[in-house]
Amino acid sequence: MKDREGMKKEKSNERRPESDEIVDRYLRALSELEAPGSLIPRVQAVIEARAKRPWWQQSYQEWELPTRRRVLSIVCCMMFVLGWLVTAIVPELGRETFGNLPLLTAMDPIWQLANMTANVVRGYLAQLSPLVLYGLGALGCLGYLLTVGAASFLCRLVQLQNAR
Amino acid sequence: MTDSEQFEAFMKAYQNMVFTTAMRLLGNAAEAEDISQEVFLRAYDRFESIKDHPKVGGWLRTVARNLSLNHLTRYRARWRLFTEMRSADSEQTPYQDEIESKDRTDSRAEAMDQGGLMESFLAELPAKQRVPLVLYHFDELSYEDIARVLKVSLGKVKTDIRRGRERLRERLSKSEAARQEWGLEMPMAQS
Repeated sequence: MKDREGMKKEKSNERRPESDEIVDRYLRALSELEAPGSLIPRVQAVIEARAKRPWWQQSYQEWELPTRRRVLSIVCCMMFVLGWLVTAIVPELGRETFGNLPLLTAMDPIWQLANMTANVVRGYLAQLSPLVLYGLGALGCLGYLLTVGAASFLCRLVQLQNAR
Repeated sequence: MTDSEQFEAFMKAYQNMVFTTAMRLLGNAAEAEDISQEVFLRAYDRFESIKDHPKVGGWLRTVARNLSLNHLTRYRARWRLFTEMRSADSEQTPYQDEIESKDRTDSRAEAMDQGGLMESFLAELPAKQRVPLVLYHFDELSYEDIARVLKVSLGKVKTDIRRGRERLRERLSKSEAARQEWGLEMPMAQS
């Protein structure tokens, strides 16, 4: 955006009819409007309502530090488990990505067990026809959508109850 | 002074400016109050960092302007959807005028109470003329900046501002009340 001085200069250089100047004069003469008296109490009411919300309805930034740490630890554990599962199902990826990590080397027996389980699952999947696989995929999607729908519904319900 | 008292003092200091910015862009007091509330809630979230900042007024003004423009865009889009869903054969009033007519009586009455006949005329302008005019006069944006902010062509901005001015001039010259209030001759009478 242009700076204000430049703007004013540009505006003053513009040739405008006198009638425009009159309108501009009227507009410039306008003072600030008075805000309604209800504005500040409304803002304060919203702030108070926000402060009373349980921690899980607040944004992450508003959480207390111990809660943040706990959630962060849980998320890290979940990511570790997820990574482990992925590498168990696709061993090549696991060896290339995490194979040299000492912790995972120590977990070799568990790793082998996971590989065996994954092999069994893969064997079953290979026997299934594509139609059944697509059906399972569709069922998974439907389940996901139903879960999201149910969660949204419950969230709205809680919000409604809070509003009352 | 506690934090809440500090924030209350902060709101008192800036509420008129924020409300005025939103009101002039939206032309509707209830919507302007909603936008002002949202502006102060955002300010509250960043209060620690902005309260002593020398340019906090400019920040509030920019937020109020952006939220008002977003609101107008959403409102317009919704209204357009409704009008397009109606029967296409009947003669339709342009959506901006319908929005205006909905709120016209309230805005006019409120403005008249405050003695701001010009504010009332401004609020009565169609949004497409009022918004660029307000951005030009009160936010001191250039035509190019207005075109960029509103995502329209430069020519359209110039045309809308010219038409807005013309309409204001017509309303002023027709209004005997305005002459009495301002104690000035109208441009028509001067020439």
